[in-house]
Amino acid sequence: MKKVFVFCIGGTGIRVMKSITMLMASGMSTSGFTVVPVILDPHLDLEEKKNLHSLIESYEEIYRHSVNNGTSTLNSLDGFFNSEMLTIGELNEQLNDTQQAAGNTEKFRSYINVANLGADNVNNYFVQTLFSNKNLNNPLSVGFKGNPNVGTVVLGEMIEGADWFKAFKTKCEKDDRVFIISSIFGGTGASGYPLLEKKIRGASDNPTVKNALMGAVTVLPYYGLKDPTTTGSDIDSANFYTKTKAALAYYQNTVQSDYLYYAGEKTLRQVYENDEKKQEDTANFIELVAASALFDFLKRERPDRKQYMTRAIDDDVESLDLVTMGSGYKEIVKCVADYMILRTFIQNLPNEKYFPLKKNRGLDGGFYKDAAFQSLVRFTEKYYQWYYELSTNNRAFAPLHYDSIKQMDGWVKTIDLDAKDDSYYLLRMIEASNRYTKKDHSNKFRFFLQFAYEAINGYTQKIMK
Amino acid sequence: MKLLKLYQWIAGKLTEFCAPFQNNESLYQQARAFWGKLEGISTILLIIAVVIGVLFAVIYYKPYNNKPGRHYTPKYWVIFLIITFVVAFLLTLGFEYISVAPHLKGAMLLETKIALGNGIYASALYFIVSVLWCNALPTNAYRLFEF
Repeated sequence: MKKVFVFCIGGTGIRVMKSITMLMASGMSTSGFTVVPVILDPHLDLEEKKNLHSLIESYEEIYRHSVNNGTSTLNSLDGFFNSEMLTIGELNEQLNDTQQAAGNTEKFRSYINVANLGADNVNNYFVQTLFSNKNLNNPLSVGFKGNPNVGTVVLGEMIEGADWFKAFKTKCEKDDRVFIISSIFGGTGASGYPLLEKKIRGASDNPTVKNALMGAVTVLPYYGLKDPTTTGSDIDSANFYTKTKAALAYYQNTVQSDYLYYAGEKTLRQVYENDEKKQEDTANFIELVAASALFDFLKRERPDRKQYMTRAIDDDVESLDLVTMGSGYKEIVKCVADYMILRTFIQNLPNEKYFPLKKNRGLDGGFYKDAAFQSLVRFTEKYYQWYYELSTNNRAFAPLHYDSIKQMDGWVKTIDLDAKDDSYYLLRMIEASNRYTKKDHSNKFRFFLQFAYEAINGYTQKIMK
Repeated sequence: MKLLKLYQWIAGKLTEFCAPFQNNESLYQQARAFWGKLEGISTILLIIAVVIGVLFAVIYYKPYNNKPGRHYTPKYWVIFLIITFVVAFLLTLGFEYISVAPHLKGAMLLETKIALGNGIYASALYFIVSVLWCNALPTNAYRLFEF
């Protein structure tokens, strides 16, 4: 089993990992790699982090249901949920402690033990040079508030001592890869990425880890925050570009990743509430672009020299569809279109009294009430919310018309799909079931996902042409 | 083959048909001749019922359910049943009219009753073929009659 350890640093790392999870659910291929997400954010009680953990658990549950064959395990499906995801804790057969290890309620001043420095100690002046009083008095429970100078100190120790880092070094095998997701304008991501990279490349006692093919995506500023003086927040998005330039200057000479991807906006298009405790930022197109970097990385081989990658859109418009984004986004659009069609099946099939697969494959009332299908329903609600946020954000990712199942030929804007309504897909689903004559398993949930994907892909593959 | 007896339950017997003409020898003989001609085409009438019944079942379970539109629901099976009945009835009546023109009093009614009977036979065959199909043959339709 080849693996990719995906280190998600800070709030941006969490949001990008959410997009990765959604794309994996939609059928985007990880080229045979099992994804092992490792979430690094010292921000205690961050709702986003808890939600991501819950989303990952939900994905894993659905995946397990799809490959379950009693006492044995089937191969991964083609299409929806086709790739395995495992947490570092599951991989190491221990509790995942990335959430716990990051928690710290003390102030930074106390963390670095400033109180023990004598008044005449020259290190006092050193500390005052590097950190403001605000920095020193900030509680670490809400992260580093856009201060990478604080993050660098805390994260370094956090990484070194963490069980998950030890587990990563133990479980990283030949052909495994590493991918790091971070922002360049925050506190955690900007400090965490180079630190983590350094720790990995510096693992002389472990050549497999040291030489692992490494990719990273660093996200440039893509949103602003409301004036901090109105909210009492310490985070000021007016500094984002300044911090970015400073970080980029540092990266220029220190980056050790084989592939470094950049994603960002030229202007801060969306402005969110400046609440350092909640950080309720809706899903953004840039996060989706950053997520696509992982899938691109997994298709590539070891380069002769470092590669710096980015991607653009064709037209600078407020609401993006397939034409304005460009043909490079076809796979993403197809995946999202596929899952949103699947959503119509999930909503409507339980009410279809005479759907043939009810008799042929046992997709009856009991099946739809079962744990497997219900976990899919819950995941799909989150998926819909995610797509809704993307499609209504400032720089909207909105390639679909998904309002009506009676007029589905326009499901993907700018492309005429041959399926006029949902009955076209249902017919193909029935045909797929009739064609499948193997008796290798009786996993109804797997049948549902497999035949649904065949049906949907039969029409939406037109997007890729 | 004399298969008109298969329609006796709806069309009655020769004696019942000829009874009104007892007092007129010429009309009586015409009535008997009319019945005889119907007897002569009775095999074809039954073939019409069989063909229509089987044909519409095949069309429903194969090409019709190879098209989208939720054709697998029982609603469309019932629609096809009705179509089977109507087509069998009209075809039978038309064939009878062309082959044995009903000039006598009561002849049209007799032909209509035979056509109705044929419609019912065709519908019954449609049902039987549906049951067989639901249990043994491939289809995209809902197997309404699967045991």
